[in-house]
Amino acid sequence: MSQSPRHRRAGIHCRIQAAIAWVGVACVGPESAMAIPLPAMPEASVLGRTPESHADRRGSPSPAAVGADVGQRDAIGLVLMTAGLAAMALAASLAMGGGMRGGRRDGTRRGRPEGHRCIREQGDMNAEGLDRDDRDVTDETMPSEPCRAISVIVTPAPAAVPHRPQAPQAPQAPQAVETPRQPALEAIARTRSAYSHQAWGSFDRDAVPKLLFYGGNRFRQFTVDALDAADEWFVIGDIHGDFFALHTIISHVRAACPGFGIIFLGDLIDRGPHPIECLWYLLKLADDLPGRVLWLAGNHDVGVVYDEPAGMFRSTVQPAEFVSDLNVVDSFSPLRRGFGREYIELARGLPRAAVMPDGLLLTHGGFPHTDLQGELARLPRGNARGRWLESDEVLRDFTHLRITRYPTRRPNRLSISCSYGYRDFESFRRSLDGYGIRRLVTGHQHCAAGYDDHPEWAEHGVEALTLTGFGFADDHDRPESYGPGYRRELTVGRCRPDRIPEVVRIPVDEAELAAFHRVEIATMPRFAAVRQPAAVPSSDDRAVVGTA
Amino acid sequence: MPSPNVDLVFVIDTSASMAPCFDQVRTHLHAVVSPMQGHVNRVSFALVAASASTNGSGVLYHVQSLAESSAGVDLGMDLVGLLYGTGRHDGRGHGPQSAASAREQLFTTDADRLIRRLGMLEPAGDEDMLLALDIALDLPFGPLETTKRVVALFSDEPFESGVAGDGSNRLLPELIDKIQARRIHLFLAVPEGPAAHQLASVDRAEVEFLGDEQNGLADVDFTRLFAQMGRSISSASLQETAEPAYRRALYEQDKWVPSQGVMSGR
Repeated sequence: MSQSPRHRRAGIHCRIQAAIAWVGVACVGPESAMAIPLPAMPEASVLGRTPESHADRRGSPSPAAVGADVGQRDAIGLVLMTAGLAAMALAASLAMGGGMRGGRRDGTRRGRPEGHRCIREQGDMNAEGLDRDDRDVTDETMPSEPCRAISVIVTPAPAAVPHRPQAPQAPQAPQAVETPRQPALEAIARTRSAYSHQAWGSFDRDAVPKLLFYGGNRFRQFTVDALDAADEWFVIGDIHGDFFALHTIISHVRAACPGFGIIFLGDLIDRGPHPIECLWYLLKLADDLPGRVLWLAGNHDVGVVYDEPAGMFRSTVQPAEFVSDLNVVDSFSPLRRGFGREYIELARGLPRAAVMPDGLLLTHGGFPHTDLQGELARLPRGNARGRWLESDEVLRDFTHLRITRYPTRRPNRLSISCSYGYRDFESFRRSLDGYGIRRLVTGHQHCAAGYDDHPEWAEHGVEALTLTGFGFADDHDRPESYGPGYRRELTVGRCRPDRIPEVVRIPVDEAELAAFHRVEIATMPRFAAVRQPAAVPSSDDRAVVGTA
Repeated sequence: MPSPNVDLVFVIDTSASMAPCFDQVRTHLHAVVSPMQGHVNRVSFALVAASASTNGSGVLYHVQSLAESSAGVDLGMDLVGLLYGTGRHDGRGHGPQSAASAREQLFTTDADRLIRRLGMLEPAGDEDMLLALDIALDLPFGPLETTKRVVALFSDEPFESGVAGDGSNRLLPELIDKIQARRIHLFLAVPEGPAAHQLASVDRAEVEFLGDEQNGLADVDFTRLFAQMGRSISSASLQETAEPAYRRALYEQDKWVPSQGVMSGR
């Protein structure tokens, strides 16, 4: 096959970068699973992952890719699913300089795209006076130094949202046309129209976005097509059903950088009131932007299971409002059951982690804890390590572990989830030395400020960032948490080569939030339920131990 | 699914310098309860208030709880007696209470009762807080599938400075295993020390290391500390997996006998 120099370069770098780009499981079913090369076996690499074959795979895997899959799956016993390919494509893309303004192969930096300048210029209007120069002083050649350089820039909300997802055409959209013409309200109405019960019921595959109900593995390939087209990559933390936050962040990023790509760190559902709207919005976004959306699994996402004997959905995590919604018994129960099962299949295939070419590990929770790392250290490099990475207990740690400020934590396997410290991450880095992991970005932990740059880690030379996407207050069962208690700023991470992502703070449009609250939150039946209060002290000391 | 319950046990060093801490907990208790409201069904409080002093023949322990004290008689044996039985060596004691009976006496959902009890504490003597922590771990907590188990320990001295010196640390590995087996969400506000650092490595432990100069935690911002505790408890997951066997009374407090001795101050 003849290749242009650019493509040959991509192929070379794909093989090289594939060594540090791996993903546990991705958004595809086993039928399209691909073998991902691991560091010790470059020959088992992505020879089929040339740009040509990559382009061929839009919609269906190319013969070359499938051949690589079939040929390697049995040989190495490793089936890492196709979002691994997405990460590889991303790696190749970034190696070509097609990604987040990374360094070129020849070591030069390419120019900043327009979108980048846009957001930077807005950042210069930073109300807190954070100096742009301060953000740029980090020595990118010495990332192992203690890094406190997580830049925080404040960017004003775009004056107008230049582009919103096209409304999927559903047979009926009973709520879509009645809502006020506010950006978030409009988007949620359109989103809702796409998954109306009529659409679910009809399963009219021409009438709904060709995602969830298209059959086969089509809907699961949206992250596979190409993670190579984005000018800049933005990282969104837990959303938890907060449609307003998801829409606001995407709108802002889209306005600031039209060529954006999104890496969502998982936990789309539960807590917040609009999980299904968020699900649909994200999938629609992925369909609109092939190759520019990567959804990593969160513990809530993969926690949903269907209990066949009981005929009910359950969740391995709490709170689990999404499951409660699926279990509602009414005339739509069969549709909910079908939707829920589709969702479970989708979530099961989500990737657990991604490693960028510069060593940035992105994952919802964490990484295999120290008790598992011991086993890793005893394994020879290559296939065995790949199988280890694919084992259930290892994959579980990516979604369930929780970052802490402490040096180290003892894993408690009796507990639903464990926590870890910076020495545990260092240990993991060393154990998996061939992957070049250097720094960490997680979700899972809910940060009151929208992010945590983990100063205790930075003091010890370990770079980490935790992002929280949703904006409602901790007390998510109260409507005021989505109004007066809502955060004034939402946060999104923006990737930078060889550094931890910087945090972009997006001011919340109070008027838009108020309109959204008035229409979408305040009237929700869910908030009308009276919850039994916690123990309240009695009699005279009520003023001392008073109620909230 | 119904909202979870919370069993919140305060383990407080009642050595001579700790009087300000009692007032801090009493005054700011609302700060730990408020963030939980709406998230939990019921909060049950318990208290393990412990001090120790050496006398000629050994160590005298005084462990107080919410159980009504019999005013100076059988010092420290209310709680210990309920948990482990009393006087087993002299044949005149009684065996441990059933878990249900002990729970009824040791836990309360009435915050007033805890506040009143804190007001009755009389600081005296020295401390042995790892032992106090072990006693707290043996309390009859609610079942894992419905209850978040929380222990909050406060002391103004490092664990190693008590009557046992660093001798209590020898059982730290077992103590940590027990904390993890019982799925205890541990909060510590203590000065730094080897034991405190080891306890900080316990999964789900949250430690506030205090400075060197402590005056019974009088200067600690309990409003912030308790608010963090409350939020953390609210967001913690229920632990629905089975509880394995664990060893009770690691420090052999089940072999204690009643004493009429008087605690000596520092």
